[in-house]
Amino acid sequence: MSRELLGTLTWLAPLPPLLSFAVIVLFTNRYRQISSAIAVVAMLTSCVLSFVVFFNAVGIGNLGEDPIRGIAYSFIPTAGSTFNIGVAVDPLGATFMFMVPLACSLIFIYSTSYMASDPLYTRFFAFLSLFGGAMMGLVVSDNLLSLFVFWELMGFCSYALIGFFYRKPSAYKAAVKAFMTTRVGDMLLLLGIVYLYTQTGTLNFFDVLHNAKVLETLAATPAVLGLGISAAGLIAILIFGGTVGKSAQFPLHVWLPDAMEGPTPVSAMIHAATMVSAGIFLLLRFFPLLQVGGPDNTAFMVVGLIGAITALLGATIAVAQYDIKRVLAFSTISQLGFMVAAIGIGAYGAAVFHLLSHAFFKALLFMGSGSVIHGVEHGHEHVAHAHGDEHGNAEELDHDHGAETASAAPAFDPQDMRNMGGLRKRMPITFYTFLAGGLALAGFPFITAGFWSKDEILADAFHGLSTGSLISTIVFIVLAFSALLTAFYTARQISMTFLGEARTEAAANATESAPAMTFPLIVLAVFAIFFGFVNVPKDFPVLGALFGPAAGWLKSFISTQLVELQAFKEEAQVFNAIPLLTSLVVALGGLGLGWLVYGQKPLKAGQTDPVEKLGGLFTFLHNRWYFDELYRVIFIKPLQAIADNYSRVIDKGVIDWALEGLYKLGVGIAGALKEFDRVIITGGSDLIGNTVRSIGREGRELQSGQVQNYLLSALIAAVVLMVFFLVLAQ
Amino acid sequence: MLVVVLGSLPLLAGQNLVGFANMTALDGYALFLDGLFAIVAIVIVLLTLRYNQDRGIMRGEFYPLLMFSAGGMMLMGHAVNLLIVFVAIELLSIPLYILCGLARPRVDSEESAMKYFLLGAFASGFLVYGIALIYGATGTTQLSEIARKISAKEVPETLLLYAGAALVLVGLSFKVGAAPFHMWTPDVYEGAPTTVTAFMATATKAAGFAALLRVFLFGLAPLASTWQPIIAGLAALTMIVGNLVALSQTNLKRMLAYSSIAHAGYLLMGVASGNAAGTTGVLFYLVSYAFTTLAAFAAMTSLNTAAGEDQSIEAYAGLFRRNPLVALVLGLAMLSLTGVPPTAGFVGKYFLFQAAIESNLVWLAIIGVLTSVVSAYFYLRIIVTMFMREPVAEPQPLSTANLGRSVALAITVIGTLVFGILPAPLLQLVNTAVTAFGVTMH
Repeated sequence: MSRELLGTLTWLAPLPPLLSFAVIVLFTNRYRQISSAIAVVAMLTSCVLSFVVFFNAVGIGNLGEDPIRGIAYSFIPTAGSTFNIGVAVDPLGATFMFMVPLACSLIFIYSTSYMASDPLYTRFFAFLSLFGGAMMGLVVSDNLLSLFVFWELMGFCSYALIGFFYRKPSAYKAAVKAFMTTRVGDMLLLLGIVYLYTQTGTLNFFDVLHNAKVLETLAATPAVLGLGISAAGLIAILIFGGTVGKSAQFPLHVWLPDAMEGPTPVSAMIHAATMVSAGIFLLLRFFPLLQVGGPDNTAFMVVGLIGAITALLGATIAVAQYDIKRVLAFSTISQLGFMVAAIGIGAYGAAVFHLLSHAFFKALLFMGSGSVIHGVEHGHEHVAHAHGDEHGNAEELDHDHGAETASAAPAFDPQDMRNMGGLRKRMPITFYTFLAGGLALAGFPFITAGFWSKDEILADAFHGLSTGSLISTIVFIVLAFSALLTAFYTARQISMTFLGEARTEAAANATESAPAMTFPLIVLAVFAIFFGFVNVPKDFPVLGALFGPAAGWLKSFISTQLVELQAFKEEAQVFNAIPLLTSLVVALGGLGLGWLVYGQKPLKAGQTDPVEKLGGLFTFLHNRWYFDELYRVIFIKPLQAIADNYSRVIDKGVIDWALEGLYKLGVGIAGALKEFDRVIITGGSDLIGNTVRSIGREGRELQSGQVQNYLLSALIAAVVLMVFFLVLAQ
Repeated sequence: MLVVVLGSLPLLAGQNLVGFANMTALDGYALFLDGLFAIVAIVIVLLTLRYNQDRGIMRGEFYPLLMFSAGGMMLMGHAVNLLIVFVAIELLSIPLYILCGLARPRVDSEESAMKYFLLGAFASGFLVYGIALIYGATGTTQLSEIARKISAKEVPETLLLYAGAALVLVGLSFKVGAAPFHMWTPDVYEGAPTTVTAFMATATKAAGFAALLRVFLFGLAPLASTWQPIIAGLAALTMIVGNLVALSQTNLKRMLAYSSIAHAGYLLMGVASGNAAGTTGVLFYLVSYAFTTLAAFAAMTSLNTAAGEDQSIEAYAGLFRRNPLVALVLGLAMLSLTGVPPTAGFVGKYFLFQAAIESNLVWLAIIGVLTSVVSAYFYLRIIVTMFMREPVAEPQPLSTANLGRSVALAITVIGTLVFGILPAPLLQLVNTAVTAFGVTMH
């Protein structure tokens, strides 16, 4: 297929979901089935277009140096400069054009069943379409401006969808929190964009990032404010600020766990296909800016440290949560930390790999947990029916997702893992797919995607460690420990949810979900298992040889993306057994430990969770290291205090006082004008008024007086104007 | 007929002719404006077809009067002689006086016609007096001659000349509704039938600016150092007055009247810049403003039924529930008037501010930006009312959808969005027009 055609297809790929948003909002918002059908078909169309581009792109050898470009159009050309907006697909974009529409399509299909009984069904699909379309637009953008527009569009969609159950206070609070927290990062990103533009005069990725000369100039220029780093480093760090917000990195990670207040498909969108991937995508895009400073430069250090802290933070908190979705939310934070840390040690390919495999298994886990919640809720309803429970049944039927809507808020929490147990028999498809996702998350050796991608990161970190890189050493140790915790909490989650006996009647009566929900789970489970084989290291014992030339495909495909720079030459790595053994030990060790504690003797109803025996540490972790409380004390309270004082002192004091003064002045002038009016205008207008009156009865009814006033003041103004003219002429 | 005019324009493109004893010109500038007036008139006709029926004012004379007026506007674009400027103004104004009163015996329509007539006559007086003084000072009414004689110092720069320029400025300021000569606008706009108001707010204003550009940037260009600060002052005053007073309006039509005053201020900023960028900005803005304002008025006609014309903002509460399409069009128009991307209003304002900054009128650009911020308040309030409020207990009936209005809505919405997202083609047209116009300054 010709490149022009591919470019055109790239233009078209994001359009169907965006159009579907418009069509649903404008025309079909009253018809539920038609709306969801439009959304699903649009997303599938986008998926097909993207796949055509992807599979063609894979066959292009020099895609990194010469990406597929769509025709760019110039936006607001002005005398000195033109600003071109276009689309492009390079290896990085191509891999995203595979993952994003696929994951989105599955989530859309899943939602048709999951949201089936929600009264705002069409609104949900409208926003979901916009969300998917914005992410697609972001992926194909060839410049920072349109990327930023789509970035913000996603910010808005996440706000609208997290707060979808807007009658529930916790939902809208979560929406505001997500929006405000990511805003902090967006501000930094915007600063980075502006700084980049002032330095290079362009925002096109390829003019900056594929151009070794520009990059090296940026690296040689010292940054503003005498920060002691290069302009390239400062821009990279500012742009990384955007990633910290969007991809929930420490210290802006607090919004992501609350984001699960939205319906579960939204969580899947945010955690896998769109929002958080966008942040990592941006950082990957600007990898050359990090790279140009050489190994272990300041920007790399910042990125690596933040990533490592986040990975550890997320993993520790996830151990001490009861809410099934909350465990997953913190595990996302932790896994994103893995990716960011990988970028921080220069392991570009490993980061891309982990991002893709994580997207698949995390979408799977979220939708699986949604299926579990759905099942338990149905079980609960069933029980309520049987017992003639005092909960209004009609109300229950109206609001299927009891915990997620405001009006039906029963004391029973269908998301609490302590209320589950034994679901393996009740929901077999959900169980086996969830198991596949969980094993991938834990990094179960050889047969899961998560193992290969995590192993890749550890191998790269170990390689850095052996060359004496400080940041690689930190990353290696922290990530290895986090991976151990990951495997442990995954084992805990699976055991508490699916194994043993049901701990509540609701769980005992849970039912398997509809095919529209289980089908996406099965597809994703296949990816969670087999996706890892696209990137088995070439020199891996036995398996590397087994895959032959296909081994390490993803890495070699993606690495054509990077510019060859003097400062940074990646040496060919040789296989080393230590990182492999480490991954084996932490994955199996964590899973084994989890099995010992939870699997062997599953919890009984009413039994205390063994992790609570950790006492103070448990409380600390359960309360998420008290970050929310800390921020409340450090930021929110002082800001509120400032705002209050501002309103008291400045608003009510100074401004009101000034306004009052103005008002009095105005009254004074008005009084003077009234005199002027009485003496001159009324006097004059009487004269004209008489004339007008003579026009007749009709004329007198024309709010008599006004026209005359208009004419007179115009005359005065004309005289003043003429005086000005004559004065200026001198 | 209008379609024929529009269709013939590309054929004439690239020509540069003069006719009528050198008093009219046929150049890119004139053709550009012809196109604009033709499109506006077509949209107005499309809207009127049903509107007049709904309001029970089916009067055949509407269409010929509209054609006369549009013809006068086109003549204005072609005029390179002060006399033709005057004739064109009269030709476009007199049919409008009648059109305003078309909804008789509704009192406010008659009032509107009467006031417009009185003020218009007054303005014409200023204009013709100014033309006379300029003729007295230079001995010609041909704009190119005036410019040549002044710059060649063939005539002394007498008080007569300056007084003439001042009076011409006053006359034209009336026509474009610039402060402090704007007072007629709200009353007239409110009373006139809505489609006529739309025509006045877009085409008449464009014609006024067509004349302002020709007279000041071409004929009186050598006096720029004198008129520049004065027009800049008028621009600032107009922006401030228009936007501030619009804040307190409770009637949508009246609010749009003040908004049209405010936009005249932004356009004057382009005139005051006095350079090619300013001319480009004014022409671009005229187009974007025309499409946007027509979109707003077109949406408003859906609330205009024989039952009564309540254009209070309250009447728009919850419109999104009742007719989402119309509410979205009106919402889009409000965003474009505020100047939010990706609408044409944003691009237009961008060019005007840029022009002002290029000619060192930074203070003016700052006032422009600040007043734009103020304007967001009253434009967005309409959106809030339509989308977030519950409808009033007994909402006015909506007139049913009809083909004419749907086409008009489609044209205006497409214009507002396309020129906002893809401004380049229009910009190219504008640049052709400006090149033909031959800005002689800077």
